[in-house]
Amino acid sequence: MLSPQTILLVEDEVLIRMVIADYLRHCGYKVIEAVSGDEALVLLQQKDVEIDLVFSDIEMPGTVDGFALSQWIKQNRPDLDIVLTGTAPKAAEMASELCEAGPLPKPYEPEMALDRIRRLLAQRNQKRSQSR
Amino acid sequence: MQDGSVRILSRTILVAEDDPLTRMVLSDALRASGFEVIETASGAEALSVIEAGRSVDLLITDIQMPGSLDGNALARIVLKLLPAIKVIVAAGGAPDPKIASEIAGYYTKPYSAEAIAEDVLRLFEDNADAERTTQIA
Repeated sequence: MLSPQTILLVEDEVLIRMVIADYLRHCGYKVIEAVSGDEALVLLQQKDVEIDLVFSDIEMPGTVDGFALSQWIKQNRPDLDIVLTGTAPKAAEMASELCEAGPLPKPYEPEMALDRIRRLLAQRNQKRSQSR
Repeated sequence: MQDGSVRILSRTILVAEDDPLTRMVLSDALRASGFEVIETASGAEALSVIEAGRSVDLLITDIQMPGSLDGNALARIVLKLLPAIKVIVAAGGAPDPKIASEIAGYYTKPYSAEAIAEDVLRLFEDNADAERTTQIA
């Protein structure tokens, strides 16, 4: 199986999205960014936009969260893999695995990048659980 | 990701555009021209990137975006408080007369992303100093 070349990154928080997008791009992937599930659907329904893998947060503003996105993909794009990254360790682990399988060698100081992703996501998850 | 001791030759462009396709096409064209692009979908998002200390050389912003900070407000803030960041407006509709004379460029939709990328390349060539050290955000 060929490793994916274009990743659709769905994440509402810009700083987290930016760090993950940077990391994946340095591994050689093309990354398309969407800020919400609704935006992701707009992009997924475009015929001329090639996407090989979806890397998505779960909790997002708008009408489509990660689970709804996953359902839509199963029904409409069964060829597409989706990675749901609700927790910090999961996201960092998946990003790391993608970079292992990626077209280029890992970016400079990959552990730093992963640490950063973990920390940002852990902070965000903490804030979210506190506000409930 | 690079640490502070690595010198790179690329400029960073902050794009504020809420339509995902427009944002994608513009960002792609800019990256193909060698720029680093940070994508945001609202004025507030764009500001949060700047406030986080991320080094940005140019802001390209739409005008109509969700939230209380539209592109005109964002442009005015950057022009006033962050003069080191150049500003280009790429939107539907006429430029705000208050900022028209201070921005580095104005494009109306539908625009050619390649044309903007070419103009941006020329804009930075005019500033001969193409080398800078990145900061860790």
